[in-house]
Amino acid sequence: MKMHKYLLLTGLLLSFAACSDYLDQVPEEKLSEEALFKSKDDAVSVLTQAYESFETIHRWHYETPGFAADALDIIWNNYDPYRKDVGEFGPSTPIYSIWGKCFAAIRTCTYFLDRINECQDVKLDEQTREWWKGEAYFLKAYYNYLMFSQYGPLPIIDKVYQGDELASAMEEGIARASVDETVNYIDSLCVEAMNRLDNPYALPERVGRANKSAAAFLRARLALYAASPLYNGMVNPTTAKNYSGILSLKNDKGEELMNSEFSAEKWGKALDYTEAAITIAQAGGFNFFMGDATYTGAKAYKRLFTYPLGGEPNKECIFFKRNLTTSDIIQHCLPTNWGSWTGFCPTLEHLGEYFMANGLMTGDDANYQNATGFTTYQKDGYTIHLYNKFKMRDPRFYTNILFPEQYSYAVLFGENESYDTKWGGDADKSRIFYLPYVDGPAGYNSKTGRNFSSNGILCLKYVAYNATAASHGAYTINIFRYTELLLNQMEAAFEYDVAKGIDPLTDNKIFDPWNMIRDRIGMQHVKDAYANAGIPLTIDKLRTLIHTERRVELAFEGHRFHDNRRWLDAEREGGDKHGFDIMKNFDDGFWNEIAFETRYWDDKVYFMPIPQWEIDKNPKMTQNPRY
Amino acid sequence: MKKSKRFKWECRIPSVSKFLRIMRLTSLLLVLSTLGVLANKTYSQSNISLTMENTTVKAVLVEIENQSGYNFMYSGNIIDVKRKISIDIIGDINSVLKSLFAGTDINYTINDRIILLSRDRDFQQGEIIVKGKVTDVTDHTLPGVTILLKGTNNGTITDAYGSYTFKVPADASLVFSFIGMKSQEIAVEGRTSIDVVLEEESKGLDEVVIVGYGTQKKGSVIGSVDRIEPAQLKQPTRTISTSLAGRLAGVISVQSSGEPGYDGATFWIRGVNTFTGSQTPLVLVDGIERNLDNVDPEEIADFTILKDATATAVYGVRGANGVVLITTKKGTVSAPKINLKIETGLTSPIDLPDFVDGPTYMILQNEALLNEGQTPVYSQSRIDNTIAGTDPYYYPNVNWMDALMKDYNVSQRVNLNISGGSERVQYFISGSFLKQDGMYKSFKVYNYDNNINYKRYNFRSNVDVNLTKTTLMSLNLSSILTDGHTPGHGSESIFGVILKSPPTAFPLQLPDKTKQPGTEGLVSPFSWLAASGYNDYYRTLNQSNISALQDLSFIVQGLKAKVTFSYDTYTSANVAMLMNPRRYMIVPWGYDEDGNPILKNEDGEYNHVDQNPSSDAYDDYLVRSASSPYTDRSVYLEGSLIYNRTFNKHDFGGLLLFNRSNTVFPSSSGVYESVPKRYQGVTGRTSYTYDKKYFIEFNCGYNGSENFAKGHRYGFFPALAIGWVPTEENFMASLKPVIDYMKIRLSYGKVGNDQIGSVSGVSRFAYLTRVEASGRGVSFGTDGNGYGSGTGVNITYFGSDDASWETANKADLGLELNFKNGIGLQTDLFYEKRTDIWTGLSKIADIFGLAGKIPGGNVGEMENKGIDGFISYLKRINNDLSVNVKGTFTFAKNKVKANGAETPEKEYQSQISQPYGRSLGYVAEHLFVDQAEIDNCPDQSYLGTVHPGDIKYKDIDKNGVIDAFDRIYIGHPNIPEMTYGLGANVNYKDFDFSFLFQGAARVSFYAKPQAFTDVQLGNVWAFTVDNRWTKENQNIYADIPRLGVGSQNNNFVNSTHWLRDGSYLRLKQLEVGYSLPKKILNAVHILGARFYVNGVNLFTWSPFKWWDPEAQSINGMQYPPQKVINMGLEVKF
Repeated sequence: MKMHKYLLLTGLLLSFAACSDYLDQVPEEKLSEEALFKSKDDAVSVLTQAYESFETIHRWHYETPGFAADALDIIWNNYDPYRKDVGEFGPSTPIYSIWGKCFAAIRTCTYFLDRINECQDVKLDEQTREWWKGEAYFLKAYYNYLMFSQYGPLPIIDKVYQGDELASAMEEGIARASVDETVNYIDSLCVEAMNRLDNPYALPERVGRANKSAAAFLRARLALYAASPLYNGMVNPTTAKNYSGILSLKNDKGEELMNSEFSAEKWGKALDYTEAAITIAQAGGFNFFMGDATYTGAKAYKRLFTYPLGGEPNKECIFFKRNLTTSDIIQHCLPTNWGSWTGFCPTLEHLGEYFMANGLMTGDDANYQNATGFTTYQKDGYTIHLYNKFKMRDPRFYTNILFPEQYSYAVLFGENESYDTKWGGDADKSRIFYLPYVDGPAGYNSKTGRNFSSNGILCLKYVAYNATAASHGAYTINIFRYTELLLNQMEAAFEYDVAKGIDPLTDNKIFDPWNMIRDRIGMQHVKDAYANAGIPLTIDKLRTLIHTERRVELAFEGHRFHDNRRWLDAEREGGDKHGFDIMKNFDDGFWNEIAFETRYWDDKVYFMPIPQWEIDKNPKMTQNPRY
Repeated sequence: MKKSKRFKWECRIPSVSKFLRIMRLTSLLLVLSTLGVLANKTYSQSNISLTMENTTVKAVLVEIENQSGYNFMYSGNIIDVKRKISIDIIGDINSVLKSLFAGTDINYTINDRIILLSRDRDFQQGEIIVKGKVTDVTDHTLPGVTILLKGTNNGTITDAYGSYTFKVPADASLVFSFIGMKSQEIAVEGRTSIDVVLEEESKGLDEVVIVGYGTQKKGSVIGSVDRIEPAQLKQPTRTISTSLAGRLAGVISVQSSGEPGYDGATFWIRGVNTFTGSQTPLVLVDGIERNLDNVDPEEIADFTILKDATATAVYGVRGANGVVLITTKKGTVSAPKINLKIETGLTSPIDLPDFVDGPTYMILQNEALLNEGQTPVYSQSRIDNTIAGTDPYYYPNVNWMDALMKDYNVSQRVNLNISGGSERVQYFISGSFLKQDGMYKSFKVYNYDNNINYKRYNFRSNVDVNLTKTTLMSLNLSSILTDGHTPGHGSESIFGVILKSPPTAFPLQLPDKTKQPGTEGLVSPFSWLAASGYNDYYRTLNQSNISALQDLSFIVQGLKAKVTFSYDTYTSANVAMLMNPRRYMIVPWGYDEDGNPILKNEDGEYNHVDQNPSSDAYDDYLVRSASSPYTDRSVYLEGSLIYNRTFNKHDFGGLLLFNRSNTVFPSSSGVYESVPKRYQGVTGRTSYTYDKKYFIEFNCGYNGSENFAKGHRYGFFPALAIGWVPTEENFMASLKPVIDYMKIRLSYGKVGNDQIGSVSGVSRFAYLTRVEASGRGVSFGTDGNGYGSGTGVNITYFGSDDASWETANKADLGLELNFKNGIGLQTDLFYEKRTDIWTGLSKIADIFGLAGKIPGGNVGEMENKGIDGFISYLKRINNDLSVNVKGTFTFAKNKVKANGAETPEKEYQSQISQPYGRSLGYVAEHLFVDQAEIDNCPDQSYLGTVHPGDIKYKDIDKNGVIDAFDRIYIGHPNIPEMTYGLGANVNYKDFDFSFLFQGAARVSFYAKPQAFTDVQLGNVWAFTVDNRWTKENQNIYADIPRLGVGSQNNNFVNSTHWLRDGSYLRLKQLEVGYSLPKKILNAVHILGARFYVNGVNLFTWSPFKWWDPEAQSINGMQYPPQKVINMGLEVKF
């Protein structure tokens, strides 16, 4: 009967139920964890991933607090600098939150180190394998350092937790180590890296990778931090304010993690490591960039930040993030009428830090103290008003700062302006001045959306001289720049001398590098300048000068936030910040130096809060002071 | 039971070509009938030519059928078709038949295309001719009704007008029967005219209801199910998902947009039961998983929801969220019934936000700046010029809502369907067209239209063929085409730009209309809507099922086998042609001596200034924006054995079913996304009923999907239910006069949900560790392309080998009561515990390096309990008036029991024991009175700088600081915990009237009308003016705190200040209809015609007044749900 056919068909269908292969759908031959270290090309991509987060240093919106601090106002209220300035943050809504990201990158480094020996690919020679391990150690040290500089002492995570080990670690929790333990751990990683890494300056393929100099550099910077007051004695040397009670930080057992005992030898160690780093860097071909045929003086300085690729011919780039395009810092720096977002606004407090051309601090220069009004002169058919306080200043003032009516850095400094002297003028078009008066082309009334300068000043350190309204150029961020080692050496030598009662004025380790820095930009040596002015160089004066030199030379390079803290001098981030009155026109009050904002401050801001969820998840985790 | 058993019609088997011809004719009919030409007139004119020798009558009948398209119906017992004859004739059907049956006692009746043969005996003693008409309760005539002389096989059927003529003994009884109607027996008692009204058979316990993978008699269902009368689904909206709340006990729904094409509602059966996985029910159309929103309501024969474990266990791993079963219409044995419905509607937004005008905006902006200690930006002269309307281009004052939105727009629907068939073949064919316009004004700045336009075409053909006496083949084909047209930007973006743009920002259009207004940083709403290009999208959905049902009673009594195969294909593609015109503003040519701007030059022209001349980022012409089409295809196969048998008082039922499906995604990219989705499984059901009193039923599903690892793929999901009907017990007999029927049901079982949510961004193959390229990319080498450059590779997801489905443990206690007076009641108490909810193990601290890619685990648990039910009242008061009322009620309250997360420091911030969708927020006390109060209250700087007039919050942990620890769970969840409805249908003579009120309660949401998101940005709601705190009127309980500028974080964080009660009651639907009297219709050969007017979302009552509460918009700035008023005509031929 034909009915049987249907029966048969039904039976057949039901019998399919037995075959479970039907559900095996994911192809076996996909990239898997097992296969990841088979070939050199796959293995290197894991290392590449470990590098992925190092650019954190230039992510000023959310990741690095170094850019803003008290030198800059970053106006956008959805970004972390703004939230820090008004105090809109806390453990549940942390800012500059790199905690999870850095631990994830550390895990990748450890994972890579655990498995790279598995790679049997003949293409992978043993030399390269060692280099790669060195890079992984370096990155691991670097990510730990990044967190240390923001959160203070850390829990030390030196292995990949998995399975039962993970379960029991979660159950028991992992406590924070002390400052010394944290520093020693990171230092040991740096040593592991130094022992394995090569030291090339311009080995084409390895440009941009970590090298021995970078590892030595990190070690030196870490030692400098560890020697600084915040981590060493906890007393501000100028004000003598003792922070050991205010910033007391304990682990789960109630043991103090900070160091209230001062140790002079930490400064000695910082000096040693710095000198070692300088030696290693010079051996690797890195050096101080005094300029070349095209770039001299302030232009040589400017070149360090506007050469898009980094590296050769810039010998200062020891470790860097390169070829950043206009979408980031530059785009946020330029005036609105340059199609930009206009909101990196240096404070007058920072502007006051730039030296006078004669090498004195502004506070020590009578001309500056007495300066009022304007110098007016004609240029290319325009009447230019030069604010007298901005006359005859440190050349770095003109390379870093865009102030109202700026026309040319060179004319102000008395240089020949035969080469491209405009901060951003376009030779083919009419020159564009920065006119942030309320009705001016870059003024508040012409602003677009929420983009405007809050105080009439902008930062143009990363903007090249040849930038135009349509093409803003690219730039490099130095993570480790050679000059910093010189400044570190000056500071460490100075503090070590002071601690040991030696007269710093006789110490060439302080003044040799200092003179180099000033020679590059053509500014008087400190000793000469102060001798000429008849002002004695006391310990406090010298310390202020060293700090100021560092703040100016390394402005907007991500240091300020951390320097303020390690010097126990971060209170300056709160309170009134000054600028010009952007709601006014030129002649009705724009130039009044007003407090454009009053910032939040509490001593808790010395450390960023540990995210609340980490406290909740890790039974041994303790929160930073005062949160 | 079946009429066919007693009255054996033997139908001619149409040959294949004949079958095709019928199909062709029906399509012809479709055309002709729309022209109003009645089909049978066409037939009778064609001549038939017969030349046959020594053949049987049967063969001649076949030939006539072949030539004419008529079908013969006769009883083989009565008509001798084996008689040999010769015939040679040409003529119309009447003359041929006359000749064929000349000299015999065979009589013939032509009814439409059916020719009924009967024995024409001489009038016997006492025989009379009875005539009459058969109609249904709504007075629609019924063609094709079978009329039998009781106790004989003699019969006739009604003609196309429902009329019949029958020669019967004067003392006989007639039995009128029609599929879907209750049979009626009427004693002739000598009358010669008997009109009969047949009632629908839907009432009563023998009614067949749809359950999972089959049907059951209503009386024996002990699972929790509810269904909607299909007629009530015919709400004039695009999608039926918006018609469910309030009509079905157990359904909770939220509609969040009214945009044509995107106006479907999200609905949940008995609320939410899981917090990561899919929460919405499995929707099956004709047994296949399909989208509900695209089914045309006119095609639906039955809409049923399955709620408890008993009803859903057969769906095993897919049934945990409840199941919706939609069955499309089938043909019935009758002459072709043609149904035409034409509707035109007016659509308008329920509610649009009302913003302040230009001068008010400027005054308030200045106030906000002063409040912040900043300088006002609008000068008095600018305000005065705006008030005076001096120059609309330089001092614009535009109400963007009025300027860009229409008050109403037009929608249209047409449906034509034809159904009918013979005993051999039944068909239902349907075509629908739906057109909806959007609410934007059409500016025609360019040649394209900037308004939304949505068109949908639905075609369906459902054909059932009785292949043999025991074999039924069914083929359902459906095709849905959608053509959409939208502006270049989506409505969300357009509303977003309007929200940003103050009335004074731009003129609507510039004097030179070829130039579009805008600044470099802010685009004008007009340009964003009218000059942004357009996006045309095209979607094609083809659905087909073919099935064969074989009665195997010849092997085992009561056994049937069924095989179903289906495939669906879907493609979606779009043509986006976008433009982004250069932006211009009017700038004065200069200023006169008084400093007034010179706006026009000597030629009377304005100065249009390009706002960003140096940028080349603009496109003043259309640019094709590339997009790749999407396509998927699914194939489904099902085989089952069904057993139903009754022995005396014992009823047995059984089902054994196997199914599998495979869906492929050829347009997907990515290794994992391209893997086909598959599942397969076995399902079983056994049920036993004793004496219609005691019920027991066991259901189970055993199935699995490709989504899990081997060994974790298949799950077994059993459910057991028992039922008892006390009213069948003798000891309850005394209650019978009051309570007609009572049933108590109890069920418990397990169902699964394999649509587990995504953890760390991975929603499929949670068991597989993924190694993929990810991240920002790094460059090495002097050229930036050195070895190792590019995006690194890493583990992007840590798989968990034992990842599996969610398990729902469901219990249900149900009560059904029918009172004699017509009141019915059904109510269920339910409890569900969902375990194994797939969730991220977020308690793993970030120090372990898994931030952003934490693994998941089946560790979540949630509990949900509640009650749902309905009360109905059905009464035919007299021949003229009938009433049908139904009220539904659903209450479901859930709680998260475990979620894989850490225990927060403050236990009151733990999600555990909180309902899903309830949120953490601050407790607002009032607005700060003055600076002194701010100084003396807990420090609120964590939320930003605070001034008098800002919201003051309660220090929950009493530590003197307001911070994140001071947030507690506030309000109700954002999905209503309670939904209710009350609807009624009233028929009075030729009029009908129906309505539905629907409401939701115990729901909260945040409404934050935040003005001035920045200086000169952000519109201001009109109610702000009278309800705000000002320095002059320091009302510390004002709705709107101190006006400020920027993020205003302190005032606009989630807090009780902005938490709103989202409950509402709507007049969801209202309809009035009038059916034309049949006397008039008969004259024009129409069976029925009805005019009606209806409305949707006509009135809403809510404690929330700012905008419509249902969509839970945070600021009302989104495409709002629409109000519809519709006029329609329904005609039946």
